[in-house]
Amino acid sequence: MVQLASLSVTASDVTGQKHARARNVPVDGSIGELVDGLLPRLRLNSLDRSGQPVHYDARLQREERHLHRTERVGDALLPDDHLVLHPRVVAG
Amino acid sequence: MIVCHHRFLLLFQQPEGPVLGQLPLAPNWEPAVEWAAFAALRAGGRETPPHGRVVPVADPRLGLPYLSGFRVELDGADPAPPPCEFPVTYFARDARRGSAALVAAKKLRDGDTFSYRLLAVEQPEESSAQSAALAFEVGEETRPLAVTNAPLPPLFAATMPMGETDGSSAYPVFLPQAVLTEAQALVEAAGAREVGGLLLGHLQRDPALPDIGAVVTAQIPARHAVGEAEKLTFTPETWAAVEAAIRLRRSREIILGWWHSHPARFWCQDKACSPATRRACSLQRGFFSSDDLSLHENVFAKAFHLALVVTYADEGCHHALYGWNQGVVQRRGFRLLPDPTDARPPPTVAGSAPLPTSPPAEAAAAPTHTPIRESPATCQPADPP
Repeated sequence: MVQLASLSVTASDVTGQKHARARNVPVDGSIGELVDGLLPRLRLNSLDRSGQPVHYDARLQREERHLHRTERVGDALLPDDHLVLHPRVVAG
Repeated sequence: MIVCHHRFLLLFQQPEGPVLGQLPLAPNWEPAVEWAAFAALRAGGRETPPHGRVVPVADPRLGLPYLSGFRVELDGADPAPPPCEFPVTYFARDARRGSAALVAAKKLRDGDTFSYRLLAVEQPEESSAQSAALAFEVGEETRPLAVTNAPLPPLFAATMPMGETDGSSAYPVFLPQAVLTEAQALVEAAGAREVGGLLLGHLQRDPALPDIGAVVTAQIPARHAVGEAEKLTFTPETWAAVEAAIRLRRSREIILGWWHSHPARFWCQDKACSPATRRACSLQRGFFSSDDLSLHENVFAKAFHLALVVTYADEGCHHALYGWNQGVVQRRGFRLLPDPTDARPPPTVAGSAPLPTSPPAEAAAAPTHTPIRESPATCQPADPP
């Protein structure tokens, strides 16, 4: 049986205007760690203007579902999967 | 990557008075670099990734370290596009923040006039794209912007201007009346709750002008968004539903922006304001809150992204469009595409006077201290004439 130690995935922001590729992502890492690592390269803020954390869900395009932050990369993702980061944001 | 070899700060003083204090800045250069890249594209240049250098521009009278602004020099295009300059007003919000601190320190009083200058001092190279140590590699990928080539003059001929836009730098936006009508119907149906949605459409380039216009084709209601009296939460499920709707439409549309409502007529019902006071209240006349700005900066950071606010005022609904201009979000005009089947008069744009589109007055040389509006549900005095 062949098992991957790491994999590559692509990701984009919700408007489809910012893109990034993550390489050598350890399969035993969590989706939350992957999302946190993607945010700077997608130039997405992890804090809002008042300093509160911005929550992002990763949407797995292949399965059309939001992943949980605690899911294991190796369990949830296949090589070259595409994720879209969906923020929970508030307008006043 | 955005490179800057300088540290920027604001120096505050009262007119003809002593220095009040200074505010070190941690600028977000992304809106400026995005604006520079979009300006180059509009001028007929090739698309470049939003990477470049930020360089101070010395004040011609005072010289360094005093600045009249800064410029962005983009990387990655041959020939390189001309640098794009930005005025001191890029830091207007920082100036308001700094003035609030001076008020708290009792160095200024509410309503006092003050001036501020922009300074820069050299420092070792610093990149805005600093990343923490990761167990994996992440690289930004550049994809071409979806732009269709078509002449813009027919769109200008078929539309009417609503509000005013700074013609020297703002790009044309074409908005169908049907989109405003749909949004207004959703706002009225929601009553006291805020509602919103996404604006879809195309970017259209006319190589002959040259310029690029944003052509809005539809609005998608933000399903699964949580609307309350004073806020609207776009949830991950909202975005998933929007993506599904875009796929179903099969029109190769992109997200051009977003819209949401301010049900102002319900906000102050229990207060004993007179009808005249309510008419003059800035809540009734439309505004872009600090939460709105935060959302726009984070999610809609591209230079062409738009935000429409539908204010449900005592007299009915009126609209105001906001967009990026030289790296700052400002109210702006648009061109309305009338609906030939709709005999009603055109919708109302916020305020009967032309929309302010020039840099905010409070960012000029001698602003007065004005606190940033944090909560919409606070009665605001009328702006001075």
